[in-house]
Amino acid sequence: MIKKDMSFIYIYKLLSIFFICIIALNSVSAEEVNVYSARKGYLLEPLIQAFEKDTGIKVNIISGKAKALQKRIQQEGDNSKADILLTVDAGNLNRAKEANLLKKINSPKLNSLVPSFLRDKEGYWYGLSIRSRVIMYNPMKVTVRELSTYEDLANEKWKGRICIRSSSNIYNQSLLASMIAHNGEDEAESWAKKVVNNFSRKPKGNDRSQMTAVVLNECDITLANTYYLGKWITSDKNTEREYSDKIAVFFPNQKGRGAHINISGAAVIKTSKNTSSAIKFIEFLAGDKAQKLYSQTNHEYPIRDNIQVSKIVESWGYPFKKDKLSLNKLGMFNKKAVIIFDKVGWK
Amino acid sequence: MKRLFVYDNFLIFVFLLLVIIPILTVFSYIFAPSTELWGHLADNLLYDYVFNTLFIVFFVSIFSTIIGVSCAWIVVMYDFKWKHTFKWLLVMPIALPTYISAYIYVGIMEPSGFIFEFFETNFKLGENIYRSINFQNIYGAIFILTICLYPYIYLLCYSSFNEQSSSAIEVSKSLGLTQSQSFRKIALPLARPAIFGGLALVIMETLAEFGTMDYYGIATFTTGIYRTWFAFGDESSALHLASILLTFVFVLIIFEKSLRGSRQYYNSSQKNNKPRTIMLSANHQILAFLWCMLICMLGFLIPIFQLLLWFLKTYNYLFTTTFFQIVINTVFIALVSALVIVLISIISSYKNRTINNFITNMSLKIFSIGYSIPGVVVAVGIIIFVTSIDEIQSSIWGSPFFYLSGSLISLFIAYLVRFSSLSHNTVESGLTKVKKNIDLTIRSFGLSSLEAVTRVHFPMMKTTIITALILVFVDIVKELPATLILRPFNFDTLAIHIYELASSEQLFFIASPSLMLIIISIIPVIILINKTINDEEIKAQN
Amino acid sequence: MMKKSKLKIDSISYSIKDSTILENLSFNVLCEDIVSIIGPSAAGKTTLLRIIAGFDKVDRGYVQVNDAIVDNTKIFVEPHKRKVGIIFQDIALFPHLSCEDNILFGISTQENHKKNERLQYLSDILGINEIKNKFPHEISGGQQQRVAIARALAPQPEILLLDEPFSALDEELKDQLIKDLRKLLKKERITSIIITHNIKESFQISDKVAYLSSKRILQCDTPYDLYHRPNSREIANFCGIGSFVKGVVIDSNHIETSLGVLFGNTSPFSKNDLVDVMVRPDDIIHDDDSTQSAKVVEKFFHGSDFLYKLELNDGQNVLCFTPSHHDHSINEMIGIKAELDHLILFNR
Repeated sequence: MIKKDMSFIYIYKLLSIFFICIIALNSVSAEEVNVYSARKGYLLEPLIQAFEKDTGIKVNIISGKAKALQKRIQQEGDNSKADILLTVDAGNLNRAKEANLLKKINSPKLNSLVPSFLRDKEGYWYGLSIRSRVIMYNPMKVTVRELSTYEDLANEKWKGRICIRSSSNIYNQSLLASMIAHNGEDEAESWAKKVVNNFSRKPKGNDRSQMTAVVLNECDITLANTYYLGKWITSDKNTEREYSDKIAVFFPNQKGRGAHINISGAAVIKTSKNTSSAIKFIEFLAGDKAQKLYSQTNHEYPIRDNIQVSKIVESWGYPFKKDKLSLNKLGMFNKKAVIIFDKVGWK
Repeated sequence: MKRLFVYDNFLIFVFLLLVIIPILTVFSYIFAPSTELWGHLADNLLYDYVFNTLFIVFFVSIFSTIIGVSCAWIVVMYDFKWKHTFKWLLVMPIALPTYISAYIYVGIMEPSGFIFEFFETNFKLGENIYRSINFQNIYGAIFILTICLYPYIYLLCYSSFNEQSSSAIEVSKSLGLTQSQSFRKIALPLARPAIFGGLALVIMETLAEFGTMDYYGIATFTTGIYRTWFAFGDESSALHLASILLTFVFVLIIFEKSLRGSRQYYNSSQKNNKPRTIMLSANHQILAFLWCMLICMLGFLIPIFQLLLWFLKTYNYLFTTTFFQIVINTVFIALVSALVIVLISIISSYKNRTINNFITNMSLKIFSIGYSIPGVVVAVGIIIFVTSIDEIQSSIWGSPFFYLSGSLISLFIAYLVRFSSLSHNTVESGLTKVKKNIDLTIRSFGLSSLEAVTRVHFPMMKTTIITALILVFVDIVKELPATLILRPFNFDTLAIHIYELASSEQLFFIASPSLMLIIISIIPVIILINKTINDEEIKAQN
Repeated sequence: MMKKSKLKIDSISYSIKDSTILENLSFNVLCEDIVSIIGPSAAGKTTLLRIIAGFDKVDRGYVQVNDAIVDNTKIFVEPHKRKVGIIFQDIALFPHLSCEDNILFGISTQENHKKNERLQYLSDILGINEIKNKFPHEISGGQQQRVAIARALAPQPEILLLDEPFSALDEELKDQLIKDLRKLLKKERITSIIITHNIKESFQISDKVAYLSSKRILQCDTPYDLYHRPNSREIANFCGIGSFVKGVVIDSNHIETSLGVLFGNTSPFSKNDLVDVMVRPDDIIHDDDSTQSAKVVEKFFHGSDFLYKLELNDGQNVLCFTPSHHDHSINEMIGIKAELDHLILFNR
């Protein structure tokens, strides 16, 4: 029957096109360095261009969410095309290490470029930029004298005056993890509970939402990452620039252990076929040229104190005392942190 | 009708498997051994998931029923200003995916929203506006779901009220009942199947909703499953949650089928006049107008207005390569998937004609469940399934010949599970009509089967096929949770892109992709409107 | 004893958008009368019914039931307060209720024993006892009609309106139903108004027949009077077939025609006036012994009779009913005799 044959051929053609397309979409050339990045593409563009010019090695970026990237690498297993994992937050890097996805690197150059508390002791991952989670406050409502430490946020005097984003966010989890590391689980849990009592509203939105809430007087203080303020200052929206004048930065625990910091960093994937190119790329990112760009374009802190930071970053106070807690711990205590958050009802 | 071709059985069987296995996989986790994390979940979060889910379902059901039934009744029975516009305008919220609505309403009250800016520039009251209404909580979610989902009930009730004999209400009045009594005792009972049908759809969409719950920070099953999977990496617990949600859905399906069952509420007479509309008094006209206007504004006009304002600020975004790539991705996967899905429906519909056996019946039943299963559940079921296939491949060939997990194939399977029934129902009903005509044609003109098929069949099936394609295409384009979980890297669809823009505080950039998505999804809405609302006018004129 | 007026409609007008449907229409119905309304299609019969029931409002004039005004553009009584029962063309039984519940619908607030009594009574009279528990979609059209009647009568309405109640039924059912219905209406002493397009039915069931055309009631008389003394050609044609024969008035009692001299009252016409005489088929008798004859031009077999179309000497045509055993062929000449019991005359 004519119709029989027609349909069959139709299906056959369709399916083959389908499969070819899928294979095409999935394949990535195996000759260059493939970076699986949780950082947005546009942040890395200038860095990649510079690297490609210097070394001639092509860099391919595949971006996604941190956990999804990790899962993907896991599932791809031996056949994974990933060479480098670029992500934010030491917790994520540590997880990847524990999941046996990373390759141990031996690079004296990297070891000298990256301070020891900012990299994995065993050489599995390296920090490439620093951000600090600081107190941002409304200078009309709060004086510097009232501010001191993270622990102080549990104090009743802050009742109804704190906005912080949801506990589902890795930055908060890492902060709590650092507190578990320093103060122990029970202390951390009691702290979290008291902070929740001080919330002026249920957690909603991200860091910038919290900052907006402070400017609009819905609360007086919040915890946020430093670079967000940089983004506001250089924003092309009038409102954001206006708002950036109405909020100020305070580095907590300066008399004690120092402000909580975290990193964005890179690691080489275990199954990488282009290890040497990968290491070159990471070394490049840790080098002076790249480090300067991190600060200028992203308002982050470089990993070495001798690098020039942008004027904006400088204006918040630089250098500041950093919590030199080994960042491995952030990953170690992450699960515990999430459980504590659930227990105390920090949504 | 003869079989289409030799391989049809095999093909159907394969696709049947693809649909059943993920569902069964999820179900099997009902009895999963508890992990340590499950203990934590059960203690602290399970109660929240159940309570929040039920709370939202309950109130969304009540409010959407009230809105849907009242608007349908007003628009069918009465004459008032703009009623002909409201007739179809009230359906439009269907074109607006719920998560987009959710994002917009939050944005309206924030610094880039038009209400905030209006009050700030004119009265310096921006701050107060910002703090006055907070959408990002359970009440906000109820609001959003209500105004986005009531059209299902509205549409079905509209048809029902329209089809009811207008004389019935008039007879009721002649027997001494007032208009409102007639409504309660005659119109409403007759519309019961429509109301429950619409309500079932509303509840299923609510149970499956992910984007809104995620953005508003509400702990429900869908967000819980997603979080447990990705944040905790505990697949077993995530699937356990998924199986509980799936059970809710099945209970709902069974409940709805039994409610719909017995009585035959059709009109027992042949003649059916167009309902005579009643002219309202001036006061009542104003009320009717305001009510319909309010609903239209909340459900459609305000969100679109805000999107257009944002679009004016960000239209350059349309021309970026990122955006272009995303549109290509979206159209590609949706088109190809839709083509294959519709093709399968056609084949299996033909099959059903000839052999009416257990298997074909079961396949239809299973296909139909797919639509009710939440996208998150489908996705996690498929991941497990697909990963094990990869492992099987590994064990046979050393390494997977072709990676299924993280490829477009998983995504395609998810769409297959979810949307086969949509396609199937459309094709099936089209085919039924055609079959009757064919028999007549064959008899009266003495055509052979083949000629009848090619000369009569195809032209008639063309519309049905196109309709099915459009419906599936649009649903795939709007789909969020399953796509979020299963998509390969660097493969963002419009829906995903909107989701990420919203999460990263770039709310106003959602204007371009959202408008594009809405334009695409308006097409089936127009088809729907023509089928129900305008059909009545044409029938009445004849 | 003079019957009182049940329904009085005085010079009402009704329009939709730009077209006037009824204009200056007056209509009276006495208590306990069964009145049919007949007339050409789309003349406004259904509209009139709807106005009486209260579903449409008049633009001018007034409607009065018993002694109360129900509609005079200032006062308006809502349909549910009027106690006017209505049965529509599409029957409109409530599909979700059983027949019993349908019937009880209008009296559901009464006490149980009263309700059941009434239900039983009506079911007995209308012969629907066996189907009380069934649903509308389970019974036949004829049965549905009876249930609809029972439902409308249950609350003992002031007036019962029926819109083409017999149109959907077949012949046998119709006949029986018409008889039963008339009996029932008379027994219940209910004033009813029936719209029908079937003359035979309306003559069978009604006390009076009203002819509605050109936006007004043109004539309202007993069936016999309407048939034999129509006011106009239009009505004459509508009420039955017939033909017109030219005639000249001789005097107050006689007319000269091609059928011979006819007797009957010729007022208001006077001597030498030219008129048309309405001749019904039953007015022409086939008489073999008659001196007058006419040629058979067409013939129609009706079972019990033939309808012959005959041509007179001067070429005019008349119709003639004859018992069917008189089977004549076309072009045959047969004897006829004109037996008009009275004259129906129109100006020529």
